[in-house]
Amino acid sequence: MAAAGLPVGKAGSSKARLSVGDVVFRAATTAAAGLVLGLIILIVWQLIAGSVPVLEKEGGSFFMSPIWDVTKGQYGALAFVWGTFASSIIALIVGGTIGVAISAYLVELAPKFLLKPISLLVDLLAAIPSIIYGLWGIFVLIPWLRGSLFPEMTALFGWTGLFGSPGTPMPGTGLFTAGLVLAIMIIPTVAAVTREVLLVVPKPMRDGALALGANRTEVLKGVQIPYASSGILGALLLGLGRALGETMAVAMVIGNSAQIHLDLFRPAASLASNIANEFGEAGPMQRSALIGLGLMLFLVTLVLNVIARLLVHRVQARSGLR
Amino acid sequence: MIRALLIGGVAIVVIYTILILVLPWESRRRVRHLATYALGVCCTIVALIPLVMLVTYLVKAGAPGLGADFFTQVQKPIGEPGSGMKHAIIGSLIIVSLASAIGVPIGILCGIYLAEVGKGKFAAAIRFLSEVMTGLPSIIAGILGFALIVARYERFSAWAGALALSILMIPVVTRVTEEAIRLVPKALREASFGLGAQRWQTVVKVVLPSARSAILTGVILAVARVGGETAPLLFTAAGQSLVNTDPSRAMAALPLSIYLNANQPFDTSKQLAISGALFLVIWIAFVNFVIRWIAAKTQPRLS
Repeated sequence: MAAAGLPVGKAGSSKARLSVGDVVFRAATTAAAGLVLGLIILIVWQLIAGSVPVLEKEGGSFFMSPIWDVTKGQYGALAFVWGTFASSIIALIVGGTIGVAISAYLVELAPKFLLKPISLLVDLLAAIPSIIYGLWGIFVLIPWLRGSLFPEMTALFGWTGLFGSPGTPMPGTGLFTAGLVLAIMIIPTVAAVTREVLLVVPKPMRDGALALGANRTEVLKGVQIPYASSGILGALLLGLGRALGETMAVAMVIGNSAQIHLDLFRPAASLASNIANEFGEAGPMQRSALIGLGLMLFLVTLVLNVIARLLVHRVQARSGLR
Repeated sequence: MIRALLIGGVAIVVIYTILILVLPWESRRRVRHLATYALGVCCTIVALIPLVMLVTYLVKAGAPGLGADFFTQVQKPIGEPGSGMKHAIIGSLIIVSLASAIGVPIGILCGIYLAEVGKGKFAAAIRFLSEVMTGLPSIIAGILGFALIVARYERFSAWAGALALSILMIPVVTRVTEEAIRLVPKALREASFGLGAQRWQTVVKVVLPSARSAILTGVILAVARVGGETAPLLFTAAGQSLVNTDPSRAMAALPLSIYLNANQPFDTSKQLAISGALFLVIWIAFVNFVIRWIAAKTQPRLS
């Protein structure tokens, strides 16, 4: 916590003895804090004000209709909601599992000297800009998927309806591709937060289990993961939030077509990718509709982030860190 | 390949199940441990494969394009050879500097507020909000930049881009500043108070210098991060094919130029995009490693 007490004595009026410097200091820092609060209010206000025209025009069908046809002036967000959630869920299943597994492995199982360097490498994944993931997606991942993985998957699992159907051309873009790229991008987020919450598990609990004869896997399963479980859930939700809001990488590999298909190998579009693609040249009503998409995206990620942070804080609070 | 992987996977699961079923209790525990260990190793390797692939690809495909043209030429008409990223590098430097000029002071002041001044519910709320704000989708910052500046002045401008980037920067800077200040030992502050210093003097002359290198590291990493952002600039700074140093007009930025060139069907454009990406990654890696190293060297000993 902050330093103990002001240097001014309790005797006498403390107000009178506050110096000009302290007043300025206090005012400046408080103003900055207020500005941050104001910024959030401003974002919410601008998003709501911007999406009023489309909400007045479309009403509830803005959220319900799957048809987004700019030339006809029909704006329904459902296709983008589907694209956003489907790609993010794929990312969460793949990237979330890997992220949690890495941190569980590094914290409890791996030799101690691996924790720092590997964590650093995994963190580097987060430092790479999303545009570069998108570029890599276009030039490396998509040709490979189109050429080898997709045909094989279709031959094996085409009957499920999820992985293409034999005979239809596959551009290599789509929900699955976007999900894969997003999976890579959320690994560092999930891994870092999972690492944080696993590291705050009290040592005596861990040592106790070891003393009772548990091996390290059993300590992990019986003590550390249960103790940190809500924090791990928080880590996964943070990863999900990052996947939902990711723009450039998705815009470059998802194919940008506002359709709802269960087939993961077909082009789709997400909320963020569609804003990125259309906003620059949009007319007034279309712009309002895009801001409406932004509002939905903002609210969903906000709620997710709030829940996730609360979950992570709970673990840290139990360990007396907050 | 998929078929082989599937068969291999099923085989491993079957063997594992049989082992678990037939082995005596003690060996069963050992097998479980080994299996978990192997799974951990596999996941770690799987996560690092994309990193290695990405870096090798960028280096191999991007290095040939990092010639003199890259740094001295501007964007030629699409498809024409001899384009460079001079305009984009200059633009990125200007936009990121402006964004830092807006975002860093606000972030640091807010961090100081959270660590030194604010108490109670308001401070807790700000702390929580700034933490939540780090998850703000970058495209939303772009919408705000557009709504506040582009829509009002009816033209794309670097100012709008800088504002959008600063929104992404502020929560990160706030958090690293607060955390850095909290690491400064109480004893230092008490000594300062004991010598009769006022609060602001203590913060400015004792606390901040002690936390300087940690704050600087965090700030520079935040700056590097927004330097790679594309989405907030798409419809704010919007890109430009020439050198422009006037922030009230559309300006190029490195990530934007990478994006625009990557979507072109011409080999020269693709080359430019990949080389630009390589340059961006080198720059970010440089900042990450060098700054961390310098920070570690210059960190004053606190205890």
